[in-house]
Amino acid sequence: MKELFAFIEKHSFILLFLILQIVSFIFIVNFNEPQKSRFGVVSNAFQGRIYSLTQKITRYFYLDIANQRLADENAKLYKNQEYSKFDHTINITHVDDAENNQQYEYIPAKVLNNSTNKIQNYITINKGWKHGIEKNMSVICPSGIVGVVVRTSKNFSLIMTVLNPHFRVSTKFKNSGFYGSLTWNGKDYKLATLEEIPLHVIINIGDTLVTNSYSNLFPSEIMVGTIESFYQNNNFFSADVRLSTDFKRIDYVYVVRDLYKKERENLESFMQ
Amino acid sequence: MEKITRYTIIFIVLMLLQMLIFNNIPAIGMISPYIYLVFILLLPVNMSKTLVLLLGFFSGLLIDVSVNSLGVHASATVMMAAVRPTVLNILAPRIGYESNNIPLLATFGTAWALKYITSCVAVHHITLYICFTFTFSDLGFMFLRMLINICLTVFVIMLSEIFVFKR
Repeated sequence: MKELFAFIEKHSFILLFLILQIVSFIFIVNFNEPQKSRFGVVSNAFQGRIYSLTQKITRYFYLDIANQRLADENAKLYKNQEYSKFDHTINITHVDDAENNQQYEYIPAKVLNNSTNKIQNYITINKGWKHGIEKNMSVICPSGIVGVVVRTSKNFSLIMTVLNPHFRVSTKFKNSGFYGSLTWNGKDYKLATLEEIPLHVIINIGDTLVTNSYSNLFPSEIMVGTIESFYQNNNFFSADVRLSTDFKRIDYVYVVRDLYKKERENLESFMQ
Repeated sequence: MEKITRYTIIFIVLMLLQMLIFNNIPAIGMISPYIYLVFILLLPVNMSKTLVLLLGFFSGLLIDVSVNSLGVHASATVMMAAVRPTVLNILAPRIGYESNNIPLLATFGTAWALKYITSCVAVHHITLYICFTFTFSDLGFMFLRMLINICLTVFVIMLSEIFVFKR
């Protein structure tokens, strides 16, 4: 306190000068119209600049919130997009072999998830039991066979593809009619193995393999692949089959419903 | 005591002169001589600087009240009162001031008085015009008017010191 007084006493001249000038300035600005308006303009401009500066600075601190809000908005917009809507339409295409002779119905589905490089490969489609899909239905695509439905939920289904060691399908040579069992070779998503071909069967490289109806799974005459190479294995031929379906580019598939499947299963259960 | 009454009379007379006559000269625009500055200029050399400041403030404020420009003259006069000691120091004669010296033309000569009055009045007028216009646009015209007014004020104050304030 003592020092404060000493300071004031020491600098009384400067302090008084400043005080008087400040008082004068306040008088000028408050009691003179032109000066008042000019000061108003200047101080407004100054305030505006300060405000914009502080806003510029504080905006950075709200970037997080702004980003969050934008992300939320985007999510909302995505939600309203066409591709975000689940397809609940149940449209089944009939193959009219002949009137009232329908055996197969086809349910189109979109591939949601796909794998080709695992030991057991599956794909997920956007149709489930709501759309009439059941376990053990076969799945095909325009270029060939895809796999078998192994599990269904209300809206989705899981399909075990050809690229799975548990998958086994009965095929036949399109030209000669001999049949064999096809399995995946476990390495290349393009190649499968056809085993236990009798030695008397004439095999040519490039022969076409199609499904036959023995397995009660696929409709017959669905494209499977072509013979890539073959070799003798003990008393049988084995052949590498180039699959016609490109599992890396699979997009839309058709789930096949066999209308006579139950009846045939019931009948064939007698054999066991 | 005699000094105080004398300064009081000078103050009152100068204020009345300024308010009643010099402020009412129908001069061009804002040009009018500010004779009331003589009061500050004539205060004794060794007078307390803070007292000079206060006197400057109140005389300026009084003029402001009369011409309805509150704060403008007060600010300018305070500025002048603040630089007055510095100007006096710079212009100090070689032997220095005597304790009761009054910065008069009669005491220190015409040249000294002209320097002293001109520098003080210039500071006053610069501050005054800045406070008046309160803007830095149209600086040229403002500067011209200021120069004319400085000449006019200095001329009037010199005249008053030559013919009136001889002691």
